[in-house]
Amino acid sequence: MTKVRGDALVVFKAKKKYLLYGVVIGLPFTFSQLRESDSDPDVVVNLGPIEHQDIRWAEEGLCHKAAPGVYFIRIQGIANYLVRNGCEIVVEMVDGADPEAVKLFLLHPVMGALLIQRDLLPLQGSCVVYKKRAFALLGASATGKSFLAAGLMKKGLKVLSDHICCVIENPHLMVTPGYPFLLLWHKGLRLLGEQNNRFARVRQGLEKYFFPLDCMAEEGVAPLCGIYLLSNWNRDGHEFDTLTGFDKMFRILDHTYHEPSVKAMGIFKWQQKIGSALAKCVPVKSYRFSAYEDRAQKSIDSLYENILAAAEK
Amino acid sequence: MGNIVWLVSYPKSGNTWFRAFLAALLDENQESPDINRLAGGPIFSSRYVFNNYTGLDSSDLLPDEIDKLRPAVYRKLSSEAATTVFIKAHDAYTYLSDGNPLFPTEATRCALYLVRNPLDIAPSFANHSTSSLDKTISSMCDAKDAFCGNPKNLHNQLRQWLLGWSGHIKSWLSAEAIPVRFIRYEDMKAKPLETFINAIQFAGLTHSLDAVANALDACAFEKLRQQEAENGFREKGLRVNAFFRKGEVGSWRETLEDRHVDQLIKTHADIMHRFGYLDGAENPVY
Repeated sequence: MTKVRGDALVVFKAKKKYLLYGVVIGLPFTFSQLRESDSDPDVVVNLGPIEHQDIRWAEEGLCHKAAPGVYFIRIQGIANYLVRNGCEIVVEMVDGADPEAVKLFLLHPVMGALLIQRDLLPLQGSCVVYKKRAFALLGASATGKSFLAAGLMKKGLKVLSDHICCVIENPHLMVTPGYPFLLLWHKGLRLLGEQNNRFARVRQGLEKYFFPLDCMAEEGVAPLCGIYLLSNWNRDGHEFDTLTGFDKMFRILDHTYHEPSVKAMGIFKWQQKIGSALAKCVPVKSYRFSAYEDRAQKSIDSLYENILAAAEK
Repeated sequence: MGNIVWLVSYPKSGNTWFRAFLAALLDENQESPDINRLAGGPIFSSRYVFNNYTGLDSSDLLPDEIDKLRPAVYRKLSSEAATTVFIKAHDAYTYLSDGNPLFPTEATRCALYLVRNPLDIAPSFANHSTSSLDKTISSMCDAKDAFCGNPKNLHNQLRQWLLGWSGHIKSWLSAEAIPVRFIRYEDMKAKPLETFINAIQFAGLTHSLDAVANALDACAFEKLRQQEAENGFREKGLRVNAFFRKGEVGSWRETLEDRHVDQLIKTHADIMHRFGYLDGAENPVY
């Protein structure tokens, strides 16, 4: 065992293995919140310098670059990450970086890029399970996806994943389990009747916490039986609207995690194919609800009733 | 010079009206601009725009880390724009820890800063945020005030430093790196044609007087209010009956108590004098 950067991050020679989205990840450090695995790793994460001068990038964003089979992202003050061929991640830490932050960005956006490289479709959202049927809750940042998933869990549904809902075609459309926790903000915890001091922060300085799923997490993959596209509005009450027609596929693919990188990484056609299959096979509804805290429980209850009804069909 | 014209204001100072005017001006076929598709959007503090341009999840970043990246986002947006882009902003003109301004100079064509009498802002802002007058005025007098600044919650917009009403204006008065034109809401009401045409000329637009007059007619207050009543307005607060309420100059006299007026004048007297909201004897002009 080697210690680097004082006591910032304990690095192990033998990999610690964790299961995430059906992929076994070999990490050089402990990530105690993740689910451990005994299997051989599919993906190896190494710490070290990143060389990428020779790569011809198809896309260069402000913080990220992408090419077929390669993705690079720089998180200023934290680390650089290189993801290659869906099986290797190199992490180049910044001196003095918060190790919890290094781990957090490994989950997103880095895992999102890895999933794309492995021909899995990461959608931006959470996923809950009722009677072994998966329902995706997709939406933009700050819509309330994790909060709704936590509220549904309190009512007895299982949570399969948070933040990234990973879809595979095998041959049916299935969702794979993500990390065994939800990421909830201080206010969300309070609305759910939880004390924030019972949970670990995701990184220093952020009022966002690991909310463990424990035994409530679903173990295996589950067939995707419904998609809810979430958005907030400034009215009382809520509204479900069933989507139909050609627009449906694009509305789903709009929620592809890191959509701009998909084309650059060379899997645009595949993404369209799975998006088309989703639109054809999976019912899609928009769910507009109030984000105000005195409507929070009503928003959870309405979605809960709708999912139960959908699962019985 | 960049392509962005910033439409800057402290909240409830006429920014939405100006954006409605721009929407009507830039699309002359519209009888009345759709209030849910106004020009000047998305706002500078949009989380969605930030995430899309950076490829990062802003919800995993600290507010100061986000601020460091915001100038680069809008430099890129400006470089990709084929023509002038109007972008609404409520942020004060602040500097990052590296000494560079939050509003990127190279991306900027100019800024139009809308100023409104703080006595009229207070009741409007309190209504909009369903907050008490005391609390709203306290925020307006707080030199460290921020919008979407509560770290315990994930807001749909990024944190915006407001710095109090006069602090906000002072920050923009000191923004020497970019051209800023200050436009009083009261002038927009009293002499609209002259005020709006001066504003758009400063922004580099060359529309005729007739076009400006038609746009002003299309976004008349009553038309916007009627449209909200019929179709709703996405920028309205939940418990608020309407976003477009009065918009009148001097309506604070029906709402504010003497102590509210005293507090606002005491805190902001210098800037209120400068923009003609107080006379020599420190009495409100409007």
